[in-house]
Amino acid sequence: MPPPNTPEEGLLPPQSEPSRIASILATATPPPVDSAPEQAPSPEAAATTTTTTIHTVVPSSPEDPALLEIDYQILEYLDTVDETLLCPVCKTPFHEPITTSCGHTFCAWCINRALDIQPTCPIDRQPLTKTHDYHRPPLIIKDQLDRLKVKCPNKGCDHICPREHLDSHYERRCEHTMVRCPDARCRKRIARRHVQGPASTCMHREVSCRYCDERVALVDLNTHYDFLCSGATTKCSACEATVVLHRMEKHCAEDCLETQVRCKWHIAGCKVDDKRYLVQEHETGCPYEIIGELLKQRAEDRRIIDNLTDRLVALETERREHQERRARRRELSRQAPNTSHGADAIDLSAPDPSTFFYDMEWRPDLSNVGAGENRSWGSPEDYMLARFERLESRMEDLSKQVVELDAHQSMSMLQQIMPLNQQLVELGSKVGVLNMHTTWLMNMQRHNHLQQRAGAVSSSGSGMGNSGMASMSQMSSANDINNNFPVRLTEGGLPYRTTASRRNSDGRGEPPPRL
Amino acid sequence: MSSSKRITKELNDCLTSPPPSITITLPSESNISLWHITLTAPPESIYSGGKFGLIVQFPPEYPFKPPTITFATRIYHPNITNETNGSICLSLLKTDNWKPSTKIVTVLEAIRQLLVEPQPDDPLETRIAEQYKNERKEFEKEARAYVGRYAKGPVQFGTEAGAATTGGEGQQQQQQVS
Repeated sequence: MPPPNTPEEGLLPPQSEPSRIASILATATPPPVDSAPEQAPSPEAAATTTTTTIHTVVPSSPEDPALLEIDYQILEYLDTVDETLLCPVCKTPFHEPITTSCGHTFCAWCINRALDIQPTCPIDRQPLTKTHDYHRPPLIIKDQLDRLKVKCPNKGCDHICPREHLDSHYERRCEHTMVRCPDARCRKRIARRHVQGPASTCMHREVSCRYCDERVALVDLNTHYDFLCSGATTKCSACEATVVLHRMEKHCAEDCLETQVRCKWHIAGCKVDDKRYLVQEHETGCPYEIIGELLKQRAEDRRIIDNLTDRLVALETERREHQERRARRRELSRQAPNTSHGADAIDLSAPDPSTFFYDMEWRPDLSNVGAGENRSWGSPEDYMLARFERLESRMEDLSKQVVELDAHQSMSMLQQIMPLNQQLVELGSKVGVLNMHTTWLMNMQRHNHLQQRAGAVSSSGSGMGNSGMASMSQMSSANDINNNFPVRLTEGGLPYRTTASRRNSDGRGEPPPRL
Repeated sequence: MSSSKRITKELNDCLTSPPPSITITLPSESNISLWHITLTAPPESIYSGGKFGLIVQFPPEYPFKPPTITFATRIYHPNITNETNGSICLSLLKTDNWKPSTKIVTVLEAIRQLLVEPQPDDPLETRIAEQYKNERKEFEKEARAYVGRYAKGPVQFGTEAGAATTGGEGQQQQQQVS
């Protein structure tokens, strides 16, 4: 066992950042570890050298962190890791991977360090800028990394877990994690399992061993007794082993094979009482083992039942309190009669000043706001909130309905207006045709008049046949003109007289062919 | 610190699956950034039968800076200086060309390949390079003579870790041998 006051291998002072990747991207400063002496250890000697290194670094860090950070580069991985998951720089599985714009992935720390020295990609030497060329790697990489099985970096801890759970194990559960000494003035660290007793006791203060003259740190005392103490020794009367005097008791109670002990299933009724090594042999096949196990299970069940009973009682009392509160509430609302607002009117009368302060007593009830309709309101806020929520939901319903109505309205509008529009167009065209006919008729009429007058003026002798012929030809020319009509009509949609017809009607157009 | 971790890793890799004809030893247990390497010349090269000592010194910034590799054994080669502390002209190892992703095994392989195929167009010893290009027979004769003189028997690295002292002492010892 290592001296417990030395920080474990594999721990580094944190890189001055609590939140992970963001600050790594931003700060990108190498951790203080770099100032450590470069006298690198051989693989076997790595443990001790690392330890001393950390010792020199920790006190110099600006603030003493609660925990040393895990050094992912020396984690022990149980399975062989696929080579694609290894950082090309540190050759260990990525820690906080970053993908560069040229598509290569590195640990955040490695790429930051590499770019500090040379601003090019460590693989293809493309120019890279810190942070700017960093991208989040595909999540699949993170998933793969999270699944890797690792051993806890703490010495003495054999815990094995997927890498994603390592942090929580290390930070909260592992009993071997080095934490700050309970004494605030002491800068040393101590394994969590050694922290005990009053909070202010420094576990590093030296005490002198009772049995030898050495001075030993309190935290090391047990180790000292067991392995290092050079105090008086004695022979165990039973097994003849040489034991340090003050360890005799422990030896007899736990280790000595010759001591008389009882079978560990004596609680189940086993009567065996013999020397330890015999009892140990017996225990492997002790018939009372099954009963013992059952008893253990029963005790466990008992514990669970007790636990549940306690909770049930607590719930029961809570329920009763609730009921009481509801009853009081009802009473209260009866005292202050509501001004009703119709059938489903909102009850706005609750927080009137007199009841307001009274209700304040139940403020803790705020937690179950909006749980349901038929419950008692704990406090005015409670009540208002629930009301508010209800109003809001109704408002939502209303606005939904409005939208629906709007849609409906516009649909029906469209349906009604479309046929009207068609009819209008039809009417328009009919009016045009009518106009055409009228114009044509009027023209004819005028021509006829003109011709009759001309005939009467020029010669009363000329026969009616002539004038009849002329009028006939006039008619045909008018017809020709009117043939253009429909074409023009389509342009404007409104009936109007064409210029040709106007000219004709003025009598200045093409002279009607005469015979 | 970080360099030691990477070096440790590479050393472990080299020890678990040793590259062909390369033996790695650590002169000092406490200093992992100095390696002694015994390189057996490839049989297809003119140096076949020779064993060459190489000294690999990892800088503190490794793998961000290239390691320094020198020949502890004298060798007659256009790309290696003709002295006991022979520097190597290898583009892979130049600071500008160095990539942190390169493993030391790759570098050693490249050096081994350099023995098979000298590159007289990028020489450190111009005279030897000229000879290699124009009078191949003479060159090969001389190279074999060097192998016979320096590269037989146990490899000498010198006792001190420092490259300069290694060179000096190695020379003395080798001269005594010859």
